[in-house]
Order: sequence, then structure tokens, then C-alpha cells
Amino acid sequence: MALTLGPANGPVMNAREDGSVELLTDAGSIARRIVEMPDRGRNTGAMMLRNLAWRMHEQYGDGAATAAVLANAIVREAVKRIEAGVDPVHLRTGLEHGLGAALAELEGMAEPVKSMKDLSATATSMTGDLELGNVLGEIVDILGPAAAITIEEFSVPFLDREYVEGAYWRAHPAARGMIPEGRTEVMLERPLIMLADQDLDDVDDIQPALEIAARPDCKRPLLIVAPKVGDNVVQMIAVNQTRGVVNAVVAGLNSIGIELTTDLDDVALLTNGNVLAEMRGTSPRQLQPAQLGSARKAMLTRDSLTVVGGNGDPTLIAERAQELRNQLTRTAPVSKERDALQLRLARLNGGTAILKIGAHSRTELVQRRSEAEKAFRALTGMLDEGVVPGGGTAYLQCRDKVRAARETCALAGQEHGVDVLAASLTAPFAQLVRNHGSAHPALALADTESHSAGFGFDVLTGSIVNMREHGIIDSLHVTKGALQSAVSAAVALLTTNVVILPADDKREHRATP
Amino acid sequence: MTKSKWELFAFDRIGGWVNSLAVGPGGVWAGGLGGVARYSDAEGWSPPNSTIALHCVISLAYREGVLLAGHESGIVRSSDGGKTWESTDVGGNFSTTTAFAFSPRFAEEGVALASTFGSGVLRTTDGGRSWRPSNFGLDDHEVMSLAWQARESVVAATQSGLFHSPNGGRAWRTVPNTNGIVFNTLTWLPDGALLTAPNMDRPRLFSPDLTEWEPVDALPGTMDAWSITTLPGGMILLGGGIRGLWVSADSARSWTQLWQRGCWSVTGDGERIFAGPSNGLACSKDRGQTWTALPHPPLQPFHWMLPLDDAIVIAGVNADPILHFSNGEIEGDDHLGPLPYFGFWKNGPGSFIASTESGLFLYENGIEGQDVANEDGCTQATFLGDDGWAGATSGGQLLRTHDGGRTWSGSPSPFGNLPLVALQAIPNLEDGQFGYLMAATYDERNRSVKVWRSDDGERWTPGADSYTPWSLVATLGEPAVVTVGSVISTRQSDGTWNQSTVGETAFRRLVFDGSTLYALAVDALWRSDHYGKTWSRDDDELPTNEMLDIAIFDGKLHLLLTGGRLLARVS
Repeated sequence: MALTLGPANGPVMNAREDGSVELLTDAGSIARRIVEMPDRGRNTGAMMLRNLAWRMHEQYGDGAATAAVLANAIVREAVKRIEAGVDPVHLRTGLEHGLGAALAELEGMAEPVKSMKDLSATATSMTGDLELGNVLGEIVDILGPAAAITIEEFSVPFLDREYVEGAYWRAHPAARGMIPEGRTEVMLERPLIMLADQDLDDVDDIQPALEIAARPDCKRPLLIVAPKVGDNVVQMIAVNQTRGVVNAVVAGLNSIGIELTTDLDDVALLTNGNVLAEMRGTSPRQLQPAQLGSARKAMLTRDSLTVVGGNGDPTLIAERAQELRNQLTRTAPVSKERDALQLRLARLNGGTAILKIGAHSRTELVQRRSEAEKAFRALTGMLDEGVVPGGGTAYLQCRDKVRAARETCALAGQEHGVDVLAASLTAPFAQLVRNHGSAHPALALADTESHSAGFGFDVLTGSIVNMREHGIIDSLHVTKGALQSAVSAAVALLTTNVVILPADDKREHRATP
Repeated sequence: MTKSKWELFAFDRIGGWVNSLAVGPGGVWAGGLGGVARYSDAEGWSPPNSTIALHCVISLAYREGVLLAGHESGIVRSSDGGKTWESTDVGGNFSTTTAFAFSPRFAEEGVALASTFGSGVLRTTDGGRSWRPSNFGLDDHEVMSLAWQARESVVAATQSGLFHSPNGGRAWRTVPNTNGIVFNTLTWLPDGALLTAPNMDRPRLFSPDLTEWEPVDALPGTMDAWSITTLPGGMILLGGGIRGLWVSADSARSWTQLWQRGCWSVTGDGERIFAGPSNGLACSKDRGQTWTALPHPPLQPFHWMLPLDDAIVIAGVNADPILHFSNGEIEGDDHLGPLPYFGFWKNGPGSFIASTESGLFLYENGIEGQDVANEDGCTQATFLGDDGWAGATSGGQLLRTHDGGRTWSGSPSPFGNLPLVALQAIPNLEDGQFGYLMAATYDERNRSVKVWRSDDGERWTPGADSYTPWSLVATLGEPAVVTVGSVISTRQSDGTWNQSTVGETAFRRLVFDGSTLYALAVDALWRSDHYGKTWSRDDDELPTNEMLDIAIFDGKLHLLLTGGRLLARVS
């Protein structure tokens, strides 16, 4: 895992049991592939580290290797002292005391993201792909902290992005013929929008909407959003279309279950319409004109529905957006729930981005996509909390404050924990230098310390540079998270007295398929 | 068959306003109300092509063999220097295209932008064949002009300020301190500054990072600049409607007025400058010191002919009607109503009806029109004696007159939202009196024409759909003829209908001179001497891709060509 720290090394190749090969670039994924070690005692420690790395990956999208390196350094330093007679409990409280000082110092040195250049540089260092890094930086810069992306995959090397004005959902035409042959989309200008949270099987279900749209004083196209429509409904729409009575189109959203319900509610909010369903007490058959939403434009393609300029109440939309932001603060930094909330928030804010990625092979494509998703999450986190100098430099700059925390230790022996943490804070820097391969970590550290604060080792050039000016920055969110996780994992290891192991004959070496 | 002889009339003193210019290898293209014409020193003017109707070309641009023309409802593309045009897919965004901007890597990536007045900015990634909106962050969709700097930096001039895109037009941000200002046009200068032209105000020079600006004091304070261009070598040209044409050779610090006449379009290459004053086109080969007026551009915007008793009316969507008499005299260029015109129909001896955005106008004596109905957008009308009907393109009302068009009454259109593409009164075979009404609507989504029939003009019966990619339906009352796509149906003397498939395109106009039927297709002129039973080509040596309309006048077949040229067959 330590080998993946920084941009200097290439991916780790994992040979699967079925003979296929995958390329791994992040410590979190590497940890997940290791499911068991041959030695029972080693296996227990490895699994704790695995758990640390995977949790880091899940929660922050990045920083798993840093956390692993830090945890390893803390344990190594601490074991020396425990063997010399230091009480592990005092060591633990000392570590936690030092951690508080380190976190405060990290927060103090954090700066807001100054430009797209910062974002691009971070994404580039995470992905090792300059072009991808620049595109991700641009997307987050333009869309802001509520940024949400959908990814389109291509089977040839390709990278581009598209910004979608308005709200965009994965969707499909409800029947063949909704989009004429030879066309890629249907555009409706100033459509009325009927939203149904139930299948529309009978012509009576759409008759009121058609009549409203066809009124001489109205004469507007009609967009119907419903899970499914019956054949006779499709025929009814075709007849109305052919006779020029109403230009109507039916779209189905691709979401299912509770996600479909929330998506329909969002469309209703954005367009000032009501979601119709017998279960909700709003039957499509008793539709009133005020229950129809409207927008400046709606576009249905074979895989998406975009609504631009919805007629929704801005105050209500802002309230819903705030609710979503509040929910975001309560969700795990990396989770499907969070992605869904961010996508909804982006729709309410009026824009999403489509990231278009292609590669030579499926393996390469999956890797590139995974890197993009990981970097994207880290970038949005950066916008939230700010950035610190990268390349392990931020941890180096914490050491003085951590050492100073010795003076405020409440109990004798705690200072050992503080010292352990202070010493371990050089580990990420040293590992990065080691991964670069051309400099000795101790010499590079001495060289760095001879410069003022903010200088560090650029592993791409092998020189000491001002990290911020060279765009070598890390997310405060991830930097703090890695240190907290490392201390937490180390404390668990150091304070464990007894390990219960399974018998040898009940174990067998396994690898992931 | 003996070879036809034609007599030519040219209306080169009327119209010909140049809206836009583009320079390419060996020549210049001029866009105006009548389409796009090309000029070269060796060949002179090549008239516009008629295969795609270009009613009002506002913008032109040429790069790497691709010529783009923006008109009032979309974009067309030519890859052979304007000889032929293809429609482009604008994804339903049919707003007027005001300007183009090519990516510096257009040859490799095919990326360009088009600004529109109503649909914002459109972006192409396939060399201009298809365009999609790219308006993220663009608060104003009325975009007047675009300027693309090196790499991916583009600025859009809108009716409410400037917007900058750092990523090739994918997303936009307001340029600070420009909110609420109407900008007409803009250009990047060689030193990286941006020269912009606010409407009826002194031009402004923005710093390369667009954070600061200063007025260009060397130019008049009431400058209404509509065209700015930076030529190879750094020469900057600025044309305005009131203050004329100006030039600067020192990055907009000092300016010299080249002429005082209004100048709406200006362009050039390393050797020549072309500028469009209010009427015509001028060329300079000495950096603007001396100018030569080029021959009048063939951009007269005539599209239709309507034969009356003693004259033939010639008019266009954006051209006021003129009367062309058989002795060659021309009368009238006054407005009947506000542009554009949607159609002209003869409603009696010596009189005609014109449809405009303000309703129907009746012409009876002289060229002065009289407002007779407020229904706007009528594209189809038909008369039989004093009875007449008129219908709008989409929705609206079906109008009815019993007094030759002097008074009208309306009823809701029975055709719904589908565009009405034909309306024809069909007389009885026996007595020539009113027999029934025939109408046709076009369903663009299904690409089909539906023919409707009514015996009284009130109750309509829809017929079967006919698939055709063409929304053109031509009709004639006497003899009764209807075309749908390339199929011509002609009523025979026994009341039966004879159907013939003629050519591969659709028909624009049918006329009958008493013995021969003529059918003008998009790309050919056909004749039938046997009431539509057999057809043959009748366009030897005619420029088939420049034909717009046909009419029988003074017993002779007349043919209207692009560029304001009228041919009369004399033998």
C-alpha cells in the first residue's frame, strides 16, 4: 500500500485466480483484495490495517495509503517504548492528546481553494493523469461544492465534459416512435408537464391533460412523465399527434423505488407541478390545470430527460436545496446516498456535468473511471474545508505544535505518546521520498527543514519547492481523516492484550476472484 | 423539340444589402436577404443556390474548406464553397444565428460555436453538421457575437453583458462590470486585449484577463459598431451604421475614419479588405486608402411571382413586392405591411392579397395595401370567384371571405397544431364553380403529409398519411393538380385522378398555360403536354439549382432565379 503513496509509482498489478489481471492505483482497493495472510498472527494485524485502509477509502475517497503509512509508523515507534516499559494506556492518551494538537495545527494552516489550478493540480496528483485532472478541476470549479457528475463511458480513448443547463435525469422514451427515426431527441418549447407516480394504463388517465393542452387558449406541447404507459395510451398520443391536436411525449425516469419518488418530487418542485397518483390522493383522471408543471424547455433523448427553466417557486426550491445540504452533512463522505443527494442538489441548483471517459480496454476504462470518481469526491471535499501543503509537508509542519503539547500532558507517561506521534508525522514524507527513489529520506527531510514553512519535496521533479505555489496541495478533509484513522487503528493495536485466533486447519489461503 | 430561348430581366437596382461577409481562398462570400453569393476577381459574382431556401443570412464564416451560413431559423453548411448547401441539425433551436467562432483546432477537432438570438450559444464537435445548446452559466440567450482567442478562451457579447468561457464554450461566467450593457460585437486583438462595441456607446478595451476596461477615446462616443474584425498583420477594422468604417493599426489606440457611409459588415485577408455599405460591396487592396465598388451583389431577396393582368408581382419573404410590366417597366417598392411576408395570392382581376405578421393586406389599385384582417402568419390562401379561405401555419384560425378578400371572418383551425402546407379550392369539372376545398398538413415528427377535404369549408375529413421528407405541397385549381413529395396527382376530364412519380424531390409550384402543365421541383423544371399523364424535363441549359418560382404571364412561361433575375421564355 505504501508504494502507491504519491504520483511517482505506477499501478499495482493484481493477478486474479481466474487468470485475469487488474491494475490497482489506490491503497483502499489493494487492501480490499487482500483477504487473508498465511500466518495467523500476521493475518490479524494485516486485517486491522486492511480495515483501516478500506474505511479511509470509503469515507474520504482518498488517503488510505497515507493512513496506512502513518499507522505503521505509530505502531513501530510505540512498540519500542512499550518494550522499554511505557504503559500502553498512557501512550494511548498521549497519542490522543498529540492528535488534538496536530488537528488544530492542520486546520490553522488550511487555506481555501484559490483557483481552478489548485483543484486541477490535486486531481492530477491523485490520478496521475494531467488531462483528466484538468477536466475534473474545471468541473468542480464551475459547479462548486454541490457539484455532481454522471459518467458516460466510451470504448475508445476519449475525454471530454459537457455541462447540462437545467435539471437532467436518466430517462427513456416510454414507447417507440416518441422520438422520430433519424432524430436523437425531441425538444418541447414551453411544455406543460404531467407527472405520474403510477402506470398510466388507460386513455382516461391522460385525457384531462390532453384536453388542457389542446385548449385554444393554451395550445402547448405536453410532456408526460410516468413509469409506464399502456399501448392504448400510446395510440391515443399518436392519434393526437397525427391530427395535430396536441404534441405530446411520454418519458419514463430510469430511477426506481424511493429514488423514483424523490426524483418525481424534485421535477414537481422545479416545474411547479404536482405528482399524480391514486395512492397520493391525486388521481390523473381528476387532473386540474394547476397540477400541471411547466418549463421553458424540455428535451427527451433516448437516455435522458432535461428540463430547463422550470416554473417552480425559487423560495421553495431554495428550501429543498438547504434540506439536502443538511442531509449531506449527516451522510458518509463516500456513499451512494451521498452521491444521490449531491445529484439532486445539483439539479435544484440548475446544473450538472457529464464526464465522458474512454480508454483502450475495459480494464483501463474501469481504472480511469475509478480514479476520476475518487478524485472528484476529494475535490468537492476540498472546496468544503480547504487545502494544506501536500506531499506530507503539512504533517511535518505540525510537529512543533505536537511536541509543544508535551507541556500540557496531564499524566506522567503521556509525553511518550506525544513523542511517538511527533516522530511518526515524518513517515508520509519519508515514504514519498522513498517512492521517488533518487533521494534519501533523511537528507530530503533535512533539506526541507532548512527552508521556510510551506516548502516540501516534489516527487515528480525530485526538488524542494514551495508546495502551494507548485500546486502540490492536499485536501484538509482527507489529511485530517488519515491522521485520525491512523491513530485510531494504532491505539486499537497497542492496547489489545489478547488475540483469539482460529485453529490452523480451519483456515485456508484465499484470494479474491 | 427546338431549344428554348429566354429573355433576361435583372432587378439589380433593388435590394442587395450585404449583412455578412467571409473571406476564403480566391474570393469573398456575401450573405444577405437573398442568400449567399460568391465573388472572385476572375469569375465575378456567382448567384445564390436555391436548393435550400435562405431567406435572410445574418452570419457567414469560412474555415478549412467549411463555409457556414447562419440564417433566420438555423444554420446551413457547404463544403464546396457555397455551390451546394446542406441543412444542419440544430436540435430544435431555430433562432436567428448571429455569428460563428471557430476553435483554433477546428481542422483537427471540428469544434465551433454559433451565437443565436434566442437560443444562446450552439456548439458543434463534428465540423458544423450538428449543433447543440451550450448555455451553462449563460444568463442571456440573446447573443450577438462571439470571439475565440487561442486555446479555449471564448467571449460572448449578449444583450445584457459579456460572458467568458475558459473551456471552449462548454460553460460561461459573467465578465465583471458588464452586467446590463448591450454589446453588439467584439474581437480579440493581437496583444491579447479584447475590443468590444457596446450599443450606441464608445467601444471599450478590456485587459487580457477581462478584469479591467477603458473606453476607446479615439472613437466617437455614439459609435454604433456592428462589425469588428482583426486582420492578419494586426489591422483592426470597425464598421458602424451611423459613423462609418474605421481602421486602427496600433492595437486600437488611434483610429482613422475610412469612410462615413454606414458599414454593416467588414472582413479581409492579408491583401484585401471587403466592406459592405448599406447597398453593395466595396474592396480595397491598399489597406483602405482607396476603394473599388464591386458589381452589385446578386442578393435580391425575391422568392415568388404572382401574375396579374398587366404586370407580374415579384416579392420575397423579406422583399416588398414590385410590379414588373411586360414592357420591362418596374413599379413600387413601398411596404404593404411589416416584413416578413408569408405569401401572396391573386384574389381577383388586377388585385392580390399579401400575408404579413400584422395580418392580411389587400392590393387593388396601385401598390398601396389595405389592412383587411388581423390574423397573422397566414401561409396558405385560395380564391375562387369572390369566395376565399386563408389559414395560418400552425393553429390560429381558418379565415373565410365572401367578397373577394375585402372582409374576413374566422373560425378555429380544424387542423390543430400541424403546419398547414396547402389550401386549394377545387372547382367542379362540369361548371367550374366551387366543388370542394383541399388542404394539406405536414407532421414533421412522422414526416408525413395528410390531405384533408371539405365540401363546405367547415367540416373537414382527414385522408391517409403519405410519408415524405419534404414539407412542400404544390396545388393548382384548374386543372386540379396536387403534389406530395415527388408524386403528382392530376384530375382527368372524367373525374379520375392520374398519379405519376416524377423525379426524386418535391415540387414548389404548378402552373398551366392552357395546354401545358409545368411543375417546378426543387431541382428541376418538368412539363406535361398530356394533363399529367406523362412528364418530361424542360430545363435544358437552365441553372436548376438557382430556380425559385415559375408563372405564366403574358402567355409566356416566366422563371424567377436567385439573385433577382427573371427569365421569360420567348420561343
